[in-house]
Amino acid sequence: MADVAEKVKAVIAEKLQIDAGQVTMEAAIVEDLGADSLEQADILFSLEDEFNIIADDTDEAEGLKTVGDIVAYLEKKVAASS
Amino acid sequence: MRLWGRSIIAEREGMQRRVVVTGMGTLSPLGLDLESSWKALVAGENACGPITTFDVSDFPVKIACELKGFDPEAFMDKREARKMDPCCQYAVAATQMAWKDAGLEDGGYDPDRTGVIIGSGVGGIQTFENQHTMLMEKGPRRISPFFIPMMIADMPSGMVSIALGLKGPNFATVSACASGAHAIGTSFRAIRDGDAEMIVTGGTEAAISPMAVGGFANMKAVTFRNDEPDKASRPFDLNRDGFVLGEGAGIVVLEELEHARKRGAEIKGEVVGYAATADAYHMTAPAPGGEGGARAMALAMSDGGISPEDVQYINAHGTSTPLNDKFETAAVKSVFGEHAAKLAVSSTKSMVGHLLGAAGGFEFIATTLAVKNSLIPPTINYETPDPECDLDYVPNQAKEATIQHALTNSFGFGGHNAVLAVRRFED
Repeated sequence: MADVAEKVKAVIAEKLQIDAGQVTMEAAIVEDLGADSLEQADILFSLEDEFNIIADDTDEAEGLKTVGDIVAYLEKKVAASS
Repeated sequence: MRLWGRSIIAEREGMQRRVVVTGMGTLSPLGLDLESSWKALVAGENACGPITTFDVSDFPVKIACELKGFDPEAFMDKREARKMDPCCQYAVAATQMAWKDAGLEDGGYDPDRTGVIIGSGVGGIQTFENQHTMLMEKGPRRISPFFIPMMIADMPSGMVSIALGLKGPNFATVSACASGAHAIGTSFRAIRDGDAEMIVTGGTEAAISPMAVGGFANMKAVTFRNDEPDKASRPFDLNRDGFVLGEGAGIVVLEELEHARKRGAEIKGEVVGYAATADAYHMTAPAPGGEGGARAMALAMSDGGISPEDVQYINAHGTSTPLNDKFETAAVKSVFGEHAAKLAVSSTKSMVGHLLGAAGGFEFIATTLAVKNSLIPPTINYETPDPECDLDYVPNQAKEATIQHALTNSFGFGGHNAVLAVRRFED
């Protein structure tokens, strides 16, 4: 599953045009990395594409705060769909 | 109460606020700044070449005047740049150059009294096409959350205000190929009326895209002269057969005269008149005799309190389509009478192509520089005279001339006509 973390970090770094080193598991998407609401949505949709899942349980998906939260959420979704 | 009309304006002449140009910036197919674009314009260079940004194998039109080597990151943060359609990036970049040219980088203005009015014919059409492809290939959930804000035609004005923190009047004008001229005219009036002290204005366009090229081709508005890009745009020449698509931005800082004086700004020229009319005739064809354009020229001169004999130069709309150039010539003759023969009338579209919504902005800059530098850019590719186009088009070679007043014409699909009158600045 280290794979998931690396892919998530790469997508976030690319979408926010920041150095991949800044995207730590503890980093909060909004507070630490400065994403606005459009960028958050953009990241989520890109991750759906990357992992071929649908984040339709929006309450849970919108509650994701840190990079680690997103990785955990995606690992769960990917496991459920495989 | 607003005071419109020549007689009322003449009455209060002594107190009327004057509007001057203090900054200019452009990205044009001839160069990525003002200096290189102007040098190429007066050297009579041609910017047309093969379209490089997408595969044109199946398109009947394979040439355009593209910007060459534009790097948005030279003007804005890359994270911001990726949230902007190219039309928006062009506007922000040209604005940064105009702002610097106006000497405003260190302040000297009130942001609340500074507006932004930038026109675009179509807005983010490249974004629209890319995102429509996503919809077709991957479904609605893959439409980017940035699709709407990147696509809408008012976003260049919005992003420029954010980039510079300008909080005065802010919106876009949309009138196809007259969008930039309407923006400048509207800004001129807003400053004259006291709504703002300065306005960043002009036009931007980035519409060399598959849908736009295909659409213009199928309406037979553009030339199919793919084998001779150097000769494709040939306004007023007998063998003209359509315009060449261009892209870019032309942005100026308009400023109230006393405001400019107080901060010691270099004044490049004065805007004295503006008028807007409609043909009320046809979606795309100009009215016979250029009736709507003629009224706009007459009203712009009236607005500026100048007579036809006061004008030495007209930067023509001059698209290189059979109808525009013929009717624009007729319009000039109907307004100027015998004086028409003494006018210099050139089309810079012969060199940069048709910048659509940016054309009015770029051509206002070309006109202002012609007046300031006493040098008129030519109409290139003028080879065979057309009996229906019999004015002095400044063929192929720039011409030195002292210009007191000049007009710049912009006409758009929909029958929109906008004319601006520029005066050499004298204290």
